Amino acid sequence: MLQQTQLAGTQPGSAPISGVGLGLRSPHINEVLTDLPNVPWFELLADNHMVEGGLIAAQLGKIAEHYPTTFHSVGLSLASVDPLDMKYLGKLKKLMHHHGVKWLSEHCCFTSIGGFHSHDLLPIPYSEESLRYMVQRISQVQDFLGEQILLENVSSYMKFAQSTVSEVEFITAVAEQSDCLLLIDVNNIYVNHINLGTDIDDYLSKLPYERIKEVHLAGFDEQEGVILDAHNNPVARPVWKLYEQLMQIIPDVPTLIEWDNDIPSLQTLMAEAEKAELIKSSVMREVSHVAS
Amino acid sequence: MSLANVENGFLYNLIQPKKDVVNFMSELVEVGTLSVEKQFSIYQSNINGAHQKVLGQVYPACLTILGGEYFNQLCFQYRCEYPSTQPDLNMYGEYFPSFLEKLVATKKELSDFIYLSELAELEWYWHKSYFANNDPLFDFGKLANIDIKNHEKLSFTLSFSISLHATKYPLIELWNANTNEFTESKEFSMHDTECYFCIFRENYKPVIEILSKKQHACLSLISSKASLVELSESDLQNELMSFIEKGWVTGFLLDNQTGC
Repeated sequence: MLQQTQLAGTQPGSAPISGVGLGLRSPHINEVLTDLPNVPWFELLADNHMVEGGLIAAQLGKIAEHYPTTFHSVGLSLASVDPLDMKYLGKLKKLMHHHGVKWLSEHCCFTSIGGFHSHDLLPIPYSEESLRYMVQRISQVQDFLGEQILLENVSSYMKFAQSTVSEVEFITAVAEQSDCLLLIDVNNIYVNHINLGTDIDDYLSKLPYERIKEVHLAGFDEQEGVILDAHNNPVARPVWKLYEQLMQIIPDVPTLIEWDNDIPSLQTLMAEAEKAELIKSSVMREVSHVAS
Repeated sequence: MSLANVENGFLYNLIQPKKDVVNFMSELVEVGTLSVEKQFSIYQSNINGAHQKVLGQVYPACLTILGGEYFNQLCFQYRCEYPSTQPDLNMYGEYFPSFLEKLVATKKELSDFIYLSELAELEWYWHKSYFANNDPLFDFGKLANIDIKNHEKLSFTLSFSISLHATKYPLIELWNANTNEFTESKEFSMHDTECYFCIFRENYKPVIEILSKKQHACLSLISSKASLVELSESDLQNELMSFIEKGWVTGFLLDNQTGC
């Protein structure tokens, strides 16, 4: 069973984020608001909800009223050398405050430069210059929001000659120097392992676990020998295995199922969440057994 | 190469391929089966796919009429000419109607599609209406308190979601036929006179309503911030009340400055 949502309270949306939530996408919003399914929390793509009127704005209010909610954004372009888009950030802050959104997560990449937006997560070299830059940008965002953000490791299909450290060393250094938190996407670790040869054991041994506040799970697609972080399939078996390894260390950290393309029924997503919940519960039982 | 140069090289080559791609690719290292060309092409393909998907959602009738393959070619050209300039991808595609207008005027294969840019305009405003800001409720109390001597300075504001259209093409019929799952082919004839309509949002859904020539003229005057006196001179003030009831006129301004 999925963890019970505290729907009986007067403000269920104010409950803490825990258990296994779902990334809520537009095809399911009406169903969720009508049936109020038993899902502990939802994560919304902030960029799709930054309108001030119409159905989308009204839906955001209702979702946040019934469920604990987090924001996941792609438009902050944290690694871009452009100045921060303060208008965008201001809108995010206003919406988060207005709807009691629990936290904001963003990606360790850039999406825009020179005023042009790619709408894709573009990787950067993991160098000293990038590190200094990202630390300064994240600090600026956190100062403006008055709270810590979560930085997510991205799937990458590119290797830069300039990179002097590994991805895990880079995000750890960014998190420590900017005092931000981390969102670890297990599928992305696996995708980078297959495509770029990232050493998973090394990755897991170097993560600063005390900073991880959220875990993402998603499915990938395979095309011409490359695996793509397409969010269009169930979570793959090796990714579940990796998730179990991660949960052995941080069983209490909330997890989220993401599915963005060829979106299936809400029941299918809930079944994926239930699998993750079973792994979490089983690991937690083991941990408490060892402790006793 | 500095971080700024890497990012500029990466994004600009994605937007306008082959401009300086060799220079950027010299920053990349081959890894496993991923050649540097393959690494770059994955991002190109991601970006093309995302932009095609969103333009197809905004312009479904144009997509049906032009066919997926040709539409996707146009999407690619459009993206090179008009890269996205805002974080919200839902708002991408504003200049697609004018882009189509230029193409229809210059491309032989599109010469039969003279209505295409106007149809695209209908689709854009339909899409925009869905995302428009909420309107305030018309404040009759405040209007009643305006001194009669200031009435000549009064003008009115339209709903954020409304757009006005005039066309000689059977746009609404074309749009309906190409956004629903009709299987039979249909022929549409040109209107004898211009057809007037507006798009607005009602109960969260965009709606098309046919207008009379007089209604269109009145709404156009209001849109251009004509004063109450000018509206009265045009004998159009009688339409005002019904526009307010429909939620098309949502407020008023004094001297075009103070909004209510």
